[in-house]
Amino acid sequence: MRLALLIARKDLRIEWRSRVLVWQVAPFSVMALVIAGLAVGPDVAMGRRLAPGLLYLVTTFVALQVIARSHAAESSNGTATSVITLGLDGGAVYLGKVIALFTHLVIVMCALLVTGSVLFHIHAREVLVATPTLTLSLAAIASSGVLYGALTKGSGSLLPVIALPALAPVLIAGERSMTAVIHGGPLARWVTLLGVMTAAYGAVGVLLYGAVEET
Amino acid sequence: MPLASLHDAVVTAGQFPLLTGVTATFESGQVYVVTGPNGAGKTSLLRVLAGLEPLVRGEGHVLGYDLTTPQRRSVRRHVGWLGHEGSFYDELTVAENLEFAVRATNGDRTRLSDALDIVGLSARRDVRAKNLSAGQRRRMGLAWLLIRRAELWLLDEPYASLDDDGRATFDEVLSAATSAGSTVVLTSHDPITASVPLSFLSLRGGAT
Repeated sequence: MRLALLIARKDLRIEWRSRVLVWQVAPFSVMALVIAGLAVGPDVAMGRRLAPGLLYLVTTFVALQVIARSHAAESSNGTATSVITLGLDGGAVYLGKVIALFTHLVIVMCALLVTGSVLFHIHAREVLVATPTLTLSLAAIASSGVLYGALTKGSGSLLPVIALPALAPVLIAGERSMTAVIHGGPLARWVTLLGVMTAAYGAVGVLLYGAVEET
Repeated sequence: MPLASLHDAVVTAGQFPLLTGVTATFESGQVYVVTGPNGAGKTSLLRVLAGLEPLVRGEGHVLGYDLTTPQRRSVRRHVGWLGHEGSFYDELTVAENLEFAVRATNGDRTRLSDALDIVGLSARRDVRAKNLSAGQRRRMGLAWLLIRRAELWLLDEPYASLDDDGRATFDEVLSAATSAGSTVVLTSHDPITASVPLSFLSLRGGAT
């Protein structure tokens, strides 16, 4: 766990120094949601109904950017070779990168929730109640995203092709669980699905990340 | 028993042959200079010795690890690697980069300041790697080698981008490495000026 935290701290520090997340990715996500809001129009009821789906759609596309960035830091200028020759435990590296990616996604989600609350009339109480499922969704995206980032070497064009189909169940489960929180409906099955996906990707990542990095 | 040995080693990248039959022995505490034209397989040889590339044919052992099996990955913990490029995180400072590597490998943090002194980077320890010149990045790589004190040093064109002062520093580092019993395998198009005994290995077309 010590190594995982070291990796996470390193990734978070790199992202913070580059300011890309704060000044480029977060504003992009907000703009995307605003455009989605414009497309929905002034109908409050429709906005509230569509809000979870739009929120997760934007989150998914932004996640692809963040995943690609997370991997790009490792693969530039021969850094990948240098890191591999450190002989680090692949599982710990995976966990560290998941922690960092999850943190990045939380920051973006905060910006999206504030924007979504204003645009789609989602109340603060509803956001608060949805927080556990949102957190679980982001954990699922992070645990799978790091794996797909390594598989595709963070390639901006290949990553969406590989990762989007895999992220679709997370997107659906996240949207349904948030809808259930806001509008009512079955919640347990979607939360269970998110939990299973997070755990499954986490287990596969811990076991195989080192090998995947070398492909 | 030699520190590393290869017998008719063949390595490919997909269908493309990188090494087509290398036979060589590397003894402890020696400095080996791998020579050859561009594309001869010099960097590939270093990658094989670092356990980064699997052998598809032939035999190979480094520090007792079999390079034809997944055991080869264990070699990496014993290797000091200096690649072509400045292989560090651009957004981290010199000290942060080295400290990350030291802590990740459970290394000795007390060596960090001394290493930066030796390579002449003490005054730049808080400068981000992206703001360093190519030569300074090279020196940072040397500092990492000094800190790591690996049993096997694998250096790809170590003189590249270094000025006269940097080359002299590298020569001192090389001498110190051999004095400490490390084995050094390096590629270089430049003449080696360090006052250490050298053994040469010539590659052409991926073979010795």
